[in-house]
Amino acid sequence: MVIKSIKLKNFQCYYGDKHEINFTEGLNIITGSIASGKSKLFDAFYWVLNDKIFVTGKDWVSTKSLGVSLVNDKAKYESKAIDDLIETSVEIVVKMTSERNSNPIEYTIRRQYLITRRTMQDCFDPSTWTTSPPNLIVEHVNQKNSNQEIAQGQEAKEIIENLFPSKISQYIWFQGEALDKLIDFDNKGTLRKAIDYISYVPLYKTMNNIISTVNEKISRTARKEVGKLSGNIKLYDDLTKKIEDLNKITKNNKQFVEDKLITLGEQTAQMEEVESALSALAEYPKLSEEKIEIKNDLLSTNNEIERLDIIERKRFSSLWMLYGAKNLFQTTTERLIEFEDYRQSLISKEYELPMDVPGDVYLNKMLKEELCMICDRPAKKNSEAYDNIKAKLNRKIKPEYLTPENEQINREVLTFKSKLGSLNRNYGSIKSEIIEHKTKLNELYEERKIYNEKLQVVNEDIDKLYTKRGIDVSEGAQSHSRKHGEYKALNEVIRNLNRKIEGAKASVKDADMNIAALESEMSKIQRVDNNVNVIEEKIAKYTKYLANHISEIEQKEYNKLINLIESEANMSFLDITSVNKTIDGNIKIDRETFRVLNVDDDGRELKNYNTGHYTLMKMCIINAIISLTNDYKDASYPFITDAPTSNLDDKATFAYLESISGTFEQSIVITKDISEEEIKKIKELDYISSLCFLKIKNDTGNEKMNRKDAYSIITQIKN
Amino acid sequence: MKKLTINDRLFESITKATNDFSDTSLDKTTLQEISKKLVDYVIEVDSSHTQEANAARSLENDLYNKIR
Repeated sequence: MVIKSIKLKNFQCYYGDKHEINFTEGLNIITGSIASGKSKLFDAFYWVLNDKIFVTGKDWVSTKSLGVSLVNDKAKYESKAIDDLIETSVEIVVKMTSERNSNPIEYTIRRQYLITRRTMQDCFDPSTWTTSPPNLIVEHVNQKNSNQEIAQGQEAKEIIENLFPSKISQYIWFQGEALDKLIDFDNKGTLRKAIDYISYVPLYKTMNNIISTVNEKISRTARKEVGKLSGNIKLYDDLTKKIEDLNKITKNNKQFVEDKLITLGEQTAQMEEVESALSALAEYPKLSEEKIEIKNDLLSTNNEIERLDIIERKRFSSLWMLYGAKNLFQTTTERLIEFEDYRQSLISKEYELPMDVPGDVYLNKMLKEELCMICDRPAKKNSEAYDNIKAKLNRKIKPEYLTPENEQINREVLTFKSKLGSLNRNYGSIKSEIIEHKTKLNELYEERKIYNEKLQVVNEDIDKLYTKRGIDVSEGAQSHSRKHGEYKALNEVIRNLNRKIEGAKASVKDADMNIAALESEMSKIQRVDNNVNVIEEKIAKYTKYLANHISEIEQKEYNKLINLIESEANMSFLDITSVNKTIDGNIKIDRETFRVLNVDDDGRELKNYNTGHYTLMKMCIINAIISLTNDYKDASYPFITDAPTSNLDDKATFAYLESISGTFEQSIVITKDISEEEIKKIKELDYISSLCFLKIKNDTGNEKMNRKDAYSIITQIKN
Repeated sequence: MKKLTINDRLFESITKATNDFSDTSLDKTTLQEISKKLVDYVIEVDSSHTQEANAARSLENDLYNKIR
């Protein structure tokens, strides 16, 4: 079976009716960046068939619950009048080929959802619109009369169920996010359930029931007919009665074992849940303690950041300003030095005599020699000339700027200059202090980031205890006590069931031996006429032979299928892991518990699992199961998945894609893992049959996308 | 190579498990024919076209017609 195309009209982010993708056989890739409409496209595939979509955190949500949110926002925004009708629809064309019909049949499956405007209030408010139930139509051409057949409602649902059996569809159409729910390796029943859904192994049980019923009836008739020919009718009847009684006991015991095995399975599943819950409860205190510790660490880190960031910031902002004024202050210091030098030069001029006045040394010499050496005339002691020379002694020129007020200002300037000097010397330490502060703050930001990441991991682990193990950890001791009680009760029930089953099996074995002994005794009784041919006696030999064999085949075939799944899964795993050295080991299915393990070459379980490991192992198991189903059930289903490789690196992603391209007749993979730049390269890859690129755009030219005008567009790059 | 149908596979598993009915002196052709019929009825039951009890009755009739 192949999906030929999908058409979308006003479906979620797809505005208008111009969105169509044509698919081919082989690997079809749909890619695009975040929020380009990839998951909405997957939703469209799922919605058209199942009337529901997967919503993160809510699981599967029906159209009824989704309401007008299913309808494109731009279409709603453009509605301008009461009674405006908006149609949302998705249509896929499926080509079905089978060995029974030489000509393929094309089914067009369309789901349509209409909303009508009832008020002119906010167009995004659900109460603004009246909704109608979605309408499902399946059309195809009848091969016998070439008429166009149109099925609606229940009839259409039945056709879809026939095309995509609901038990299988969950394994062939899934979102990466739903993978954990689909294949839970911790749950022993997961794989068994998957095998029962998608293989033909359960048919052996049906086969066994049919042949055993025939054998029982024919053997009874045979004994009756042979009894009529017996030479010792009384003994023969006696033995027959005993055999019939034993057969009844055996039948009842077999039914008892079958019923009790079902109950045992249910009780064991419950027990696993309780065990899981108990282990979750045991894990919770540790996780809770870890969470408190991280929160405390986070709190003290935040306090330290706050102290440094807010309180210290004030100080450092002043220091930064000071540091920023470094050049200004340095220039000022230089100017002050210049000023001081100038002042000093002026002071030194303080006693400088005018050019026409000799100094004291010269004057004293003149006085001593009583001679004016300037005019070379005598200057006798006590003469006027002598006195004039003497008056010139100790004569100083006092500049005006050396007034006491000016000197006071000069002292202040000197103090300022010395302070600026010490400030200049400290600039180095200011800078290192600021850098040290910034480094410490950055370290604390990094520390806070790590604590937040740790907190998220612990919160997720705690959340998993609830979501995966189904236990409300907040109830604490009360929950633990209740679960422990359940554990004890279930343990007792399971022990009793096992005892009863073993008892019933032993009775069946005893009865079989007794029947064999009685039949042997019966065969020794002479017949009155050996020439009479009892047909039932002959038929019973065949039915008995086949009944015995077929009951053994069921288990053999089951084991064979597990081997095949394991081997096929390992082939894909090996292909993919050969390009990624961080993932290693082999996939092993535990035959007792049906758990899936990652083991080394010697069969020892590897403990270094990570999310990528798990995802890959699950994908390989699913691929193997589906591949074998296609093979076993003489049917091929298109494999459609959204974001299956989000946990894998680029190499492993492409190895995975190449691997599935060879597994399925058609696969449609929606992935964000291929960037716009890589598209050209990928287009050339042989194993990719078709390639589509999704992009979000608007017609307003604004870079920011708004729900009122943004919509997804599909570009078919390779087909 | 022709792809095996489920009927083929079920039938093949019966014959292989018994190594072509080599462990019995019963007529091999008859065993093969009964097995084929049985497989056809199982497929009918699986496709919900027939109930197990009806399939058993039909097989019983077939056996009477085949073994005389």
